[in-house]
Formats: sequence, structure tokens, C-alpha cells
Amino acid sequence: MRPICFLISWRLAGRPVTEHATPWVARHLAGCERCRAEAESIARLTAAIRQSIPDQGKCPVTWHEVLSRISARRRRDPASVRARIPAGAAVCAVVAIVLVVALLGPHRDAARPGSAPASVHTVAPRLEDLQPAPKPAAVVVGAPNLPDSASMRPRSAQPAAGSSGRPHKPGPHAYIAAPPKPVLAEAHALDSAVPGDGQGVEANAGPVAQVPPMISEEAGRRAADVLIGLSEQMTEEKSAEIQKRLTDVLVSAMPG
Amino acid sequence: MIGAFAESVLPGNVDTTDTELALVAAARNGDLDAFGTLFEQHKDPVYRFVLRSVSSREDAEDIVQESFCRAWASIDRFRGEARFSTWVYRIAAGVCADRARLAKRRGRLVVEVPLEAEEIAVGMAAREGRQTSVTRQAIARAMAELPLAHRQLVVLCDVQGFTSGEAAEILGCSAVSVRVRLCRAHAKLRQALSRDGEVT
Repeated sequence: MRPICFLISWRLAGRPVTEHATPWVARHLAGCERCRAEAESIARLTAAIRQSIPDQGKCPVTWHEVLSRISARRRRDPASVRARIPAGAAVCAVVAIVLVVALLGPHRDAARPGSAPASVHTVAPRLEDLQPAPKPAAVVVGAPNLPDSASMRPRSAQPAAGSSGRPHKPGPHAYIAAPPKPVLAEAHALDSAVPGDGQGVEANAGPVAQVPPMISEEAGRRAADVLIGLSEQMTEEKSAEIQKRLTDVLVSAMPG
Repeated sequence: MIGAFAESVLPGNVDTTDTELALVAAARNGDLDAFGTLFEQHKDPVYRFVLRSVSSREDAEDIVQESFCRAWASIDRFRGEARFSTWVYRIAAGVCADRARLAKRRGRLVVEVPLEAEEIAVGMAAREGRQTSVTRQAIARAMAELPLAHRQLVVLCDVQGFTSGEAAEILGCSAVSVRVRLCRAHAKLRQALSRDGEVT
């Protein structure tokens, strides 16, 4: 068996269709008993396969059925949107939005001047509660556990936490257990309280309030504008551009 | 060598004519009627290819519908570098592969052997003058044992008359890979048929 015999069976399997290949294949087949037998075997096999397949090969699927499926898919999944936004670009946009929200979200309140810290629970007062209160109360600093239900009630006679005789150690873990419904004066006192003013609200200056926002609202708005502007014409080519521009905006907004 | 049936499905008989190019252009502009004409022209060979890949009529019909749906959805990506038929075949091959993966994940048998007892006589010109006969069932069983990619190659090259280059384009591999796989598929088929007592 010569090396060319391998080429012949390989050639036969690939159905030699090019004109220049046929003569040398034919010449070899005429002189090589083994390859001739192989060629006949392949011919019989392919003929058997071809004839074993049912001849009634008319496709029963009608154009109407295909049309129905196309229409159903269009209703379910508008092609105008889906065709324009490839999966990669959509994922990129979602990641960018999540990034913007994650960077802006926790610091939005802290960034707004004069707003209450997020750690203080203020509840909108009812009309009957809008009475002048004798003094801010129920602000407990340094309490190891949440106050019991009695201490949560407004008690004008109850002494303030700072004067209760308990050791006062404001530290990083100090927290405020605010009353569930502070009256207007309490809310005002909390809002206008200056950290370290001796009114028992120094814990307002917690770590959250002191951390500067990583990016400003303006930067977030610009990032959102980029997203909205590009989402109209988002294509695969735009995907990389979106990523780059978003990264630029966010990185430029980072302090330092 | 190639019978009337095979000649009727040979892709070479369906040249990319000006009419077809015009239909494709119209379909790209959103003309559903033009796409419907393309569907009518190509659905039969695509169906035969799919039917021989999955061997279940219901699955084959569903795959043909799905293939043309996908073709319509991405008609604007068809640049005309290949023939429309080749492109649709490629989509259909992809849908077949998707279904096979899904069926495998669900633990379902992908190929059902069509139970047709009718025997046909083939290979009349055996060298010894002996008539060999191969049943449809034996062929179907042997085909069913092939991996999907090999089965699709046998259908494309041996039944539908595609060249190795065209088959490579449809299946997304090289022409060399097509020939190697086809050699292996033939060897496996002959092995399965001889094991079943059928002489090829």
C-alpha cells in the first residue's frame, strides 16, 4: 500500500469535484486494486444511504406557520429593540447602571447639605404631634442594646441620656436609638444639631456622614446622560465606545 | 451515480440568480413576501437535511420553522458572500446542534430510528455479481449511531451533493476537517452495517 492510497480514500470521501484532481485519481484507481475496491465500497455505501432515505421529502411546513411564529416572536420580543441592542451591549449598560447606582446611592443623603444622617430614623409627624416639646428626649447614646418599649415612648420627665448617671463613652460604635415618632422640635434639633455640642447627638458625626462622596451627583447625571444618549443607537460597535466613555466619566469624577 | 432524487436536491441546481439576490435584498428591506418566496424555494432541501439529522418528523418541522424564523431575524446580517441556501443550511445546522444539546441535557434520545420495514435493493453492481441488499432500518440505525456532526456531513456530502468546501462553510469548519470526519463517518457506517450483517 503506497502513501497515495491514503490520499485516494481521503479524496473519495471528500468527493473530488475539482477538475484537475479527477485524472490523477482515475489513473491511480486504474492501477491500484485496493483503492478501486475502496472506491466501489464508498460508492455502494453512499448509494445505499441515498436510497435508504425516504423520497417523500416534501416539507409540510407552510409559509403561514412560519409567518405566525415570526409574528408571535415579534409580539413577545420586539425586534426593533432586540436587533439593535446585542447581548454584550445590554450587559455592559446594565453593569454601568449598577456601577453608577452603587457609587451614588449610599452617599446621596450625606452629600446634601443640611439633610439628616442616614442613621437617624425620622418619621413624619402627625398633626396632633406638632406640639412644642419641652426638650429633646429619648436620644440614647452609647446604649449597648436597643431601648425597651417604655424608653421609646416620649417621656418629658425622663432625664436625658447624658444626665442619667451612666458612663458616657462616645466611640465609633456609639449609635442613636431615636424615638419612633419624634416631635417637630426633636426632628429640628436632630437636623440642626452640631456634632460635639454636648446635647447627646455627637454620634451624628458617624463614619457615614464624614466620608466624602466618591463622585458627585453631577458626575452621575453626566454618566446617565451618556447612557441615555447612546442607548438609542446602541450597536455592537458602540459597545466598546460606551464602556470607554463611561469609564472616563466615572474615573474623572473620582477624588484624587 | 447520483440518482434523480439526489439531483433534485443538489444545491448546484439552485444558483444564486439575480432573482434570488433581488429577493434577498427585498427581504433585507423588510419585505416579508420576498422572504416567503425564498422560504418556498429552499424549505424542501433544508427539511430533508434536517430530517436526516434528527430523524423525527415533528422535530424536523419545528427546526425548519425555527431556522427560517432565525433567518428572518438576522437577514440584515446576510452579506451575500455565500449562497442564501448555504446560509440557511448553516442556521439549520446550528438549530439542530442546539436541540441536540438540549435533548442531551434532558437525557432524551436525540435520534429516533424510523421504523419502515420496506427493504430496498442497492449495490446491484457488486464485483462478484452478487446482489447486496441493505435495509432502510439498518442504514437508519447506523446513521443514528453517528455523532450529529458526522451525520450532518454524510447527509450534506453523500446525499445532498454538497462539496467539502460548501459543507465546511455550512458546518463552520475547514474543508480538511470535513474530509477527515467524512472518512471516519464512512468507516463507522461500514462497521455498523457489517455488524448488523449487511454487506456494503
